[in-house]
Amino acid sequence: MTERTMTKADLVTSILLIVFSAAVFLISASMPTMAEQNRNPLAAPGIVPGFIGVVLFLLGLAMLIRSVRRGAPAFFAQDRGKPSEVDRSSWGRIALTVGLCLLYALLLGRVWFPLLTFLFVFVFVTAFEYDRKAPAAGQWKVPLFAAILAACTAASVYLVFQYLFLVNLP
Amino acid sequence: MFEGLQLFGQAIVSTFTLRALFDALWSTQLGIIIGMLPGLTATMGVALLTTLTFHMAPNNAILILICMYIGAIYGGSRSAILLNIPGTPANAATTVDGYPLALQGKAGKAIGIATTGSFLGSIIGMLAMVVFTPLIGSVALSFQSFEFVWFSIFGIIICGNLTAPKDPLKGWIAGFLGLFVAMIGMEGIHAYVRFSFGSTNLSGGISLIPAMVGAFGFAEIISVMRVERYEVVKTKIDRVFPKLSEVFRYWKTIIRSGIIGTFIGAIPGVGEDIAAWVSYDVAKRGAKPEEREKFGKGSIEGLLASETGNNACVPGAIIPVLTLAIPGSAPAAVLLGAMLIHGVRPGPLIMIEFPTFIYEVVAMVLLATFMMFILGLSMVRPLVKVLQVPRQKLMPVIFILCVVGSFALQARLFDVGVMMVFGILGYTLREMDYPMAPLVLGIILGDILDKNLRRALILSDGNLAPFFTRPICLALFLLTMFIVLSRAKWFRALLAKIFRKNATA
Repeated sequence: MTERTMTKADLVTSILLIVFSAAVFLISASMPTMAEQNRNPLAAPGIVPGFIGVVLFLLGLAMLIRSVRRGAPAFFAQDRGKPSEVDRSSWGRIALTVGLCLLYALLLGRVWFPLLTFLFVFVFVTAFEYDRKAPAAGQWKVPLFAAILAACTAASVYLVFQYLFLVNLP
Repeated sequence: MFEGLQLFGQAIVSTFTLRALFDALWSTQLGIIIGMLPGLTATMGVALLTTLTFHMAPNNAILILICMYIGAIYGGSRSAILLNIPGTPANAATTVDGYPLALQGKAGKAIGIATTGSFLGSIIGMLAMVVFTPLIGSVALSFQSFEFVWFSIFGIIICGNLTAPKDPLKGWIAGFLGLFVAMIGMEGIHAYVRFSFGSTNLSGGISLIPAMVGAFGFAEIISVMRVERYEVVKTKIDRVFPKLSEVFRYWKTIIRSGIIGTFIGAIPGVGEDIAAWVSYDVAKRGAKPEEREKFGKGSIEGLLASETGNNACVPGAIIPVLTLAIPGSAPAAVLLGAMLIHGVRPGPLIMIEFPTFIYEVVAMVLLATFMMFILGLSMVRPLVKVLQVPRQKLMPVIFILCVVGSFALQARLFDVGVMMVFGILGYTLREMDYPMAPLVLGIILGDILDKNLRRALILSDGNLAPFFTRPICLALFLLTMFIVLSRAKWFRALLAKIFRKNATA
């Protein structure tokens, strides 16, 4: 990340942090003091989260002031409409990784564990190793090895956890 | 004193069983491999193994975790030397002199020096553990809630300051966010459920281990998959076993780095990476002029300083875990979590509740250190092959282990969700230069802060004075204020003015 994008990101995060910390403080302040149960109000559950909310608010405020001083609002105005500077291929790889992993986590418990694990490893390896620009004929090994690795992973994780560690997998 | 020695002797006898030797062998080797692979860190290794070993007896499991920790911190030096990529963040300083040595065709020598440095560092740290853990433990017995409140705040502030030296503000934000995470769920005094918004899962709180597997495992997978690929240097590995004279020429550096590493390890949340850099920096400043020339171009002394420093940090980081239940580094935080899972309650009472446990941990560190030394000097060539495993084949398997590991602890799918959320959040925060260590420290210290601040307020009947008048409290308060204020421009200007006045007067 360049210093320019970092300053812009700081402005956005500081605003989010201020909103978040204010919410934390308000929720903490509305917590019961337990005094009606004859408990000491000095030990109210809201005291510590309230304190954390105040500190986070101050830290967010410090970052807001700093990013404004460094010219973040001006950067936003200048960069409007300009194409973003992020590198496309690395974003693609991040999206693919996160997407596949999220899909796996969401399907967990709905699909039989060994099958889901096999499919995940197979798709993950193939997606990253298969070169769409190269001719398909020379790449028959990629899905084959992916399938072997996937089968080994699924089988060994399933057997080890189910029978050795006695964990009931989802 | 002699009672300590006797307890230590008994601990060695009870720890060094055949089963323990076998466990130490495989877990240290696994640790070295995990440390070597860029993207798999010591924290991740210890966190994953915690989930895999929680069915074992406490002492076996903790031995395996310590071996993994020591092995991984050492193992990272391999990829630092051969790839110019630190295998774990702890080995970043090792690349500076290790990689140039590999380029000069001295990769074997560099590996041998790194192994010896790590071994000696670990031994120095272990000695400090034997001496200081019981001492600090007995002092900690007199600590009350007031002191623990300041310890938790001071821990967050110094950890944020040192892990984000360029921008401590972000370190502090990460730390306080961690404290907030600890507030979620049922609190310990009135059993009132906070910030759960009606969710049964959230009312149980966010467990540390899944959160750490996410922040250090899943987040790392995303950032490894982001870059294209890395190349292994083609270098022949010659003699690995170092000449003793070559190492002992630098005995001053070794002892100094060992002490620096241990000390930095004991500071809450400040881990091996900082220890290695500080020790490297001090060695560079203290070196003879002709040696200083070589720093950055393949200096043996620089390599020794960095590797001694980071491994000395490991036992150092365990000292506050045992005596105060405050982790000295991120992997030590997982170790603390693992001890709690296994029913050992570290903290000031440990000398009373589990008097032999401290010495057993020291004996485990000793065993792990010797194992690392032996394994480090053998099987060097075949292990280089591990570095050639393509990461797109490795990462999906690691991800499966992250998922299963998070699930295995409590058999809750919710924990898998926690792991995923912390992974994505951790990756995003890291991209914006927020350090992860204060966040993790915050999750642990949150509970300590919560209970002790409220308890202290009841004890003093709402009076804030004891927070500032008790001697240790006052010292911690002044230190905290100094760290925060020294980042402000006006304060530095003021300090400079005062010192100039004194100088002219």
